[in-house]
Amino acid sequence: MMKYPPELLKIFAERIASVASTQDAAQTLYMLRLTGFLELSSHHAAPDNGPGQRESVTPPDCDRVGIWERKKGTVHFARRFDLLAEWPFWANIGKIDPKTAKRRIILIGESVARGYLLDPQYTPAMALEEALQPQMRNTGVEVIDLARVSLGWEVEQLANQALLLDPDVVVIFAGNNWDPVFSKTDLPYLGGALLERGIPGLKQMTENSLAGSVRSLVRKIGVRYQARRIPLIWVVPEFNLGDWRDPVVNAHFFANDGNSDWMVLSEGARAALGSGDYQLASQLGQKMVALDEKTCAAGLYILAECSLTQNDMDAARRYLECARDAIIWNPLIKSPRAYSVTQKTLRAEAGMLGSEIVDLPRIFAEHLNGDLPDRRLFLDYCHLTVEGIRIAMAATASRMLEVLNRPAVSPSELMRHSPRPSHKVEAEAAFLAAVHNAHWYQPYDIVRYYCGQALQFAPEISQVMVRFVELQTCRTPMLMCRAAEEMVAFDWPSIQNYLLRFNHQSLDKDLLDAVVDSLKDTGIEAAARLNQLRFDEHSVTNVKTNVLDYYYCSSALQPQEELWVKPGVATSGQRDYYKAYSLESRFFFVGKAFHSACISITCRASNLRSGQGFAVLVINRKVRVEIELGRKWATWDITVPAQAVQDGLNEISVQWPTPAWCGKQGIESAAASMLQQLPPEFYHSFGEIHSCIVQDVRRIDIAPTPDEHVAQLVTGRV
Amino acid sequence: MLASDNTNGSPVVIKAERRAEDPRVNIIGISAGYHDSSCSLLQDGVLIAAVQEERFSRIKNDKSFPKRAFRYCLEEAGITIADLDCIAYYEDPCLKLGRQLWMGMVPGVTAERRESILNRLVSRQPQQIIQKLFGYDGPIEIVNHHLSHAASSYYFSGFEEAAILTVDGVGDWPTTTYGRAHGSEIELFEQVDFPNSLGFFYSAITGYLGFEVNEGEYKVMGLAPYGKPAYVDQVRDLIQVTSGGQYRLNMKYFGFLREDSMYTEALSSLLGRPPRSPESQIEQFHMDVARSVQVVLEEVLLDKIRYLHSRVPSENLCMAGGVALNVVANGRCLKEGPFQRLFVQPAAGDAGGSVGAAAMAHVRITGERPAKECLRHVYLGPRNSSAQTYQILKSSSARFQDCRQKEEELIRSTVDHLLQGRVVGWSQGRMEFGPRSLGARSILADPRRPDMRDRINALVKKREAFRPFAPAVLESEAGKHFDLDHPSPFMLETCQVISSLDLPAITHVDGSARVQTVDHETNPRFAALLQEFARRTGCPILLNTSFNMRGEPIVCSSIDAILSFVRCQIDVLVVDDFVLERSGIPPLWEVQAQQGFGDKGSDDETVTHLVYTML
Repeated sequence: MMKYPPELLKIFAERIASVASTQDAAQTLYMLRLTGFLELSSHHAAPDNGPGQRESVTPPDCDRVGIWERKKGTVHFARRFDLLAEWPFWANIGKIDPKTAKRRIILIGESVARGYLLDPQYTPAMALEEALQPQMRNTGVEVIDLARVSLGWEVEQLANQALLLDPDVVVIFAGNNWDPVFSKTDLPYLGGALLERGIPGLKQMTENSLAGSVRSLVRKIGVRYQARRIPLIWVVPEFNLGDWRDPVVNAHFFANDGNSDWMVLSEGARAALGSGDYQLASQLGQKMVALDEKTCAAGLYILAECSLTQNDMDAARRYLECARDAIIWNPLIKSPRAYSVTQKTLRAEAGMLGSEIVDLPRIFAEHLNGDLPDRRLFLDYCHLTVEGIRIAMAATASRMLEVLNRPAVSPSELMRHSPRPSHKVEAEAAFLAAVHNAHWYQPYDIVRYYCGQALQFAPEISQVMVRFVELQTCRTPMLMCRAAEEMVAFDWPSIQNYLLRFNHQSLDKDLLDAVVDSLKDTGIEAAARLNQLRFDEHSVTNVKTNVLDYYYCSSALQPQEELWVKPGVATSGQRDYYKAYSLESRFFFVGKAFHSACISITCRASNLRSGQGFAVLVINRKVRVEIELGRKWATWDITVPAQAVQDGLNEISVQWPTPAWCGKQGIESAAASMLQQLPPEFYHSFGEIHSCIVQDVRRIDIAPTPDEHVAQLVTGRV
Repeated sequence: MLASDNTNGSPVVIKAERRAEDPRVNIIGISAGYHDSSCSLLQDGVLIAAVQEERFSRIKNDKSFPKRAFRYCLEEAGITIADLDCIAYYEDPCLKLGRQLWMGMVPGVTAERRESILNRLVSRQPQQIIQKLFGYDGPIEIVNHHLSHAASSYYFSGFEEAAILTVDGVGDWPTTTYGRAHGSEIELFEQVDFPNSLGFFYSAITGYLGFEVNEGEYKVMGLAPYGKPAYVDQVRDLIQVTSGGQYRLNMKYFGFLREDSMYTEALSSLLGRPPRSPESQIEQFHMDVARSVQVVLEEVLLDKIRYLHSRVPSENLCMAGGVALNVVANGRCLKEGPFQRLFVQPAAGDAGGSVGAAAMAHVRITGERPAKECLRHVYLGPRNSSAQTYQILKSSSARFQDCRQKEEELIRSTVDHLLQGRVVGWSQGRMEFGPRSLGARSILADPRRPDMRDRINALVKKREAFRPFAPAVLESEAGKHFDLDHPSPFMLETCQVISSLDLPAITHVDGSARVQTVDHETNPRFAALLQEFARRTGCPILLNTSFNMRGEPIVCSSIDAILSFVRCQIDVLVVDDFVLERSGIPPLWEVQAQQGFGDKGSDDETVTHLVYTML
């Protein structure tokens, strides 16, 4: 367990006293429990094995490696049928035979090492084997693929299990899923750090914790491998610094009432950037960063943009690395990534135990002649393109030859022997990347780029893209759509593997726009079909629409605005209504031109400065309506004139009043939530919407439709 | 024209209307945190909507706060959260916590149990959850658990006055209450407190017989007629009936105070056999024990009902609480007891608590009784929409018969299938509230076929072979086929089958049946189906069972119905105005149907078959 300054507990102790004095006994008891005063059973204080070290139960009569097991009396490892649900996360290998005369390399890792979006047709394990094969003809070589999607700290367990396969060398390509893990007993310290130093204090503590966890992990694995004299190569992951942009959000709570200043600076900086005044933008960006102490990405992105315009790649890289790391403290909203602290610790620790390092940040920089790593090497935040995989695995193979005391061969030479997969495979990956990027809030141009790439690699992928438009737009569950059946009938295995398995249907405004626009470039007209589908399936003329449903809300401006309604996201006990975290919220409904629509919105702003304020709704930038906000819910009915409604998507923009900035109070509240193990709120709320229903005005007045009439007949009300 | 008003490009300003406060009294009732969470809405005392959260979440017996059910209730009534006058919660968290803490003080309680209690001590209270989850900042009425049960029954009974009996496992402290009601007033004048509990008495045997506690009690009831009361003497040793309304459990046979098991080794010794393992073969011994516990339960209930009548000499009895779902006991109580009329809340378990809490809050706010009339039906859940179902079907490659605007054809076609011995999934109109399918989300079949019960149990519902099925019968024809002289719209009574027809699929081994009577007013399409079936066969009866597979909640939406149809061996699905046969199912639907099925959501309180979730 890591050591904390005991002073941090002073605040915690004060909090207990404070709560106790308000007679809030439940909270007092809770916090006393955290201290261990109320420990009741021995199992509560589990030994600290480090993060993710929950050993799964292995039957006593077999050896287990990942999803494979070797039963007593057998020599090979076979997949466990009881883990069928796990299979898709691993390489599609039915059994692992005993080692032969061939050199055996094992590749362990997470989705990057799995070859996410390319797997199973092309994977880093394949690239590594192909790079090594020509160099090891005398002995032969095989690469056993033990990469698993979403592998986190369980990497230690897997590395230990891998020894059962008698490897000659093991490669571990991981680090993107290593997030700080805190136990219950850490919470008072975290709360203390938050109350004392705000989010910067929390960030510092998080980084320290992560460094400790990585250090411990690398040491434990290293010691074990050293003892067994099995060479170990760590591949240090890189991040898509060039293209990936975390969604820009408002600053979290500042303890020093700096939120107002920060927002003004942010607006000014963006305006300056837009008008090409880089000097001003840079000045304002610096002030933002000074206020938030590199805990927000927004200012750092502005500084990086300014640096890029001056062709200062080193500065841009520094700012973008800081931007990548800025969100480390927030447990809720971020894509996987290898933080600076992960990369640095990995480099430092692995070498000390005699392990080898393949440093992708350095290798990619060399390959790109100092350019930032970007879409050329990445499909998204961290997953690699075919090119990225080839470079990474060639570098790994080159290092491996040294480890195996083979003649040195340069990575570029090895790459020449590393064949590319077919264009179809790359096309699939590119289109899947477009979908993935869109679902991770990346802007239209990057999504459009990947759509274009897909069509460029294999124009025939248009057949998938056309069906995808249909699939996403239908109300029918995905696999029940005719479009899905048609997609299955095509020969696009990765599309089936990823798109039909893990996708959620959603409005996908930017994505479907990008698909339609890209198709248009190749002479395929899909816009009309999309509009017709949207009308048939979603028009308020046919059915009233709750724009807070995930399907529509998914096109919100910020991830935390849709998290509450996102399928599969655990929100047990959390709020079940929309909260705005910036001055503007954006919603869509599907309308019919010249059909008046009625918007019924139930909203409030619980954080108003004077107890009252006004929100402004702008519909399609054509009409504007002001509604009064209070701290209590109120419902407003707005009739949008027929002339303001257009065919297809209609936009409702809600512009909220500036809230009362209450950073200190917010931090206290966040600390209290953390102590209760509830997801803390770190951001100001600008307004809240409980429901927002849009329907065609004529539907309100007219008699029930035939089916509604039948439904009423079938079952009248009590 | 708007465009011409908008010459400078800036948006035209329009006005919004603030919706006036709804003049009606809108009360939401909530039950949650235990099992079968639900939400209901009373509008000016009229029950507008009620639904269990499990129907939306698709997690059987979902106990989480009913957020989707809450939204549904508002939507059904056409109101928003701003229109709510009150949210009523169905039990007093403080009382419940007192009981839980007491459980932690019992000598010999495990450390894990105490830790679990401590966790509850420090967890958020329902009032806080309501405020946080819904963003609700209005008044919250807390209604005691058994008062919620009592209100859920009496206020919807249509009686002007009545005696009230509530019996369940446990809520806060009481497990049984006795009350009287007149007009808008309910008075609970006596209670039996935890750990003495008729519900636990029955549940302990349920667990001993290898069925899931709090779920398998009705299996015990269904098993009982196969057995003989050979163990009544032993079972009587489990419970001592004392004076007045009281009784005591002999705690040496019950483990729930100290362990995660309902019964102790002493019960096995008493009955002379070890407990039955779940899913193992059911032997005559198990049937005899089931019969014995049913007999003893009925004896105790009859005794207590007689006592209640001595205190409240009314002709009317209202019952609620999980034990009131024991329809066999209800029938005997009515037949042999002193009361002339019995009303049982159709959702007698905790789900119905939300209705009772809302009703009680209505009385507190308005001083008036919420409902004057007897509850006529429980079609209080989400409705299917033919247009939306059509939208689903047309965007697929499924083959289906389109009977929009052709109801007669739909009915005829359904009867054709039934006559061919096919099992029909029937999903129509608004869904039922409570545990019973009553012709809105039902599986239907021809009751005259000898093999039908075994076939549905084995292939469709994938459940134990002994489980009986209930008949749905046209109300006007009920008396000719069943020993029943009054409507039974909620399937809450058993009676003898007296029909001249041979009805093997719905007649239980003792010649009884759990009847639902159907009338044209409350469910016209189902009644039309029964009528057409009668016209062509002379039999106005259909086998009717809930539309779900084992371990799955009853289907709610059209999509749920379709996916359940795909998963199980139902031959035909009649969903809204459409008829689908298995041969018309696209292969990919099978994959969709399996996705997510069986996910139970995360829950750190793993419940084994032996544990009642009493905490």
